[in-house]
Amino acid sequence: MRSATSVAGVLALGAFAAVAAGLGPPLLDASKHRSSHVIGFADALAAGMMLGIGYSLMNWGIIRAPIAATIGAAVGVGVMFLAHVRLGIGDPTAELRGRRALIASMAHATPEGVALGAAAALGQMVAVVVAATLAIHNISESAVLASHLSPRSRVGTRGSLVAVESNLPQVVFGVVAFVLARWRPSLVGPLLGFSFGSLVYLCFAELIPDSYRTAGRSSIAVVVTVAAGVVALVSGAV
Amino acid sequence: MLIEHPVLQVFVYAFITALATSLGALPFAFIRTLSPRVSAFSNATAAGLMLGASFGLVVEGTQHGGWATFTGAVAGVLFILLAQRVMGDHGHETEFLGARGAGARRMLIVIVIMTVHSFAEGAAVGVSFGGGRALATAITLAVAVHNIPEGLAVSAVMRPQGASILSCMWWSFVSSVPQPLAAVPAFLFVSRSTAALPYGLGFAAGAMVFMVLVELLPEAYEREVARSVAVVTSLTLLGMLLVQHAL
Repeated sequence: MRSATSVAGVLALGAFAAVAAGLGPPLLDASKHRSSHVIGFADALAAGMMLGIGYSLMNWGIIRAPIAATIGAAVGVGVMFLAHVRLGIGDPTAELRGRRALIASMAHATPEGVALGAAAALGQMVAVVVAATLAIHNISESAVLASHLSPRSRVGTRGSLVAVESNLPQVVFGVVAFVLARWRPSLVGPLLGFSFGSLVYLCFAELIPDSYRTAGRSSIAVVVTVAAGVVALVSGAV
Repeated sequence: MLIEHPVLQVFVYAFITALATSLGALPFAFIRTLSPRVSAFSNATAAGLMLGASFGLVVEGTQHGGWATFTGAVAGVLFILLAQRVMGDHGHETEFLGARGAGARRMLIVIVIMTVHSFAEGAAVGVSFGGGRALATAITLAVAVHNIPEGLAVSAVMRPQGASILSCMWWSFVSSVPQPLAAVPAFLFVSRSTAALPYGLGFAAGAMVFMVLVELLPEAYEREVARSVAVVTSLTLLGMLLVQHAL
């Protein structure tokens, strides 16, 4: 588990996760019936993976520095809540369309980048697992973003480019968090906590309620639970 | 600990969780109905506690076997799905929770549904004893606190129909009686066969996470904006993780 990771490695893993987001829009275009159910399940899959990786991040954080990780997590929840209030996300009167959807997606990618950077400070295998989880999560998430950008028509190549662009903060913040963690190892705990708090908040504030609006609650619950379980299982093994 | 016999300990812990359900009726001594906001935050708090408790179960379970825990979790999800099918369309439940002046049939449905899913919570308390006293205390605490909003839900349906506070407390307790009844066999099962422990822990975790996602969170979102629900759920989840770590 504990082999060294370099800045170049974090950059490559972050880029891999961000580029994977480009697959979401064409997959959505290719789906025969672009029904709200497909979007709901994509949201649920993204939520489950996020919950699973969030749990693992906090577990690693609590083992290393329980108080610092907890403070980091509370800060993560607070920062994301304030960002939501400022951007009007989660406001039932405001629809998430066009530019606002893109900004929301970029805000979403920021803590994911921190998660990658902090995980990379723990070791290469951890970083690979987190990056792979984020990559699959990004595919689901970008399919949902594409549906917000163009609710009725195909999004094509432009959709893929926008999806990758919206995930660039993952690369930037991944490197920043990794450099910080290598510079001051005591920051690893709070960074892991911050990732957990912000990712879990995003699950409960965006992904899960959005998925309930588009598909039945039982089927959504199955997808979220199984996805979270698989990610927790895989990340627990490293 | 005054009670030394492990089976009796399990029963007493689970009985305490059942008693906690009665506490949900107490606010109705002062009010007839519950504001949607209070109801939403109660559900969000319960959701955070249950998710935190499930996390503890998964962490413990994976130490004994990752795949076994995962298989148990899937079985837990299937159990609740099956219970829902047996009970009929789940949609009925949300209707009566959101409605005022519901009839006797609705009261009966809420009590029966709460009773059925109490089996999974009782099993969670029982199998958690297989993972040690600290885990058992954390899970018992989570289930007990989670039971209070369930008592609120039962009473919120009964009280507007003219039921007395004692009656509300009694029926809230009855809805959780399966907890001590399920806890003992679950504990005996995992203590006789250690290989069953990760399956049992996974089963309880899967059933609890599924209940959070299928009942508590949707009802919270119906009554309050998502970001407020998210803050309460996330912070409660965090608090529960810390409590488990401290224990």
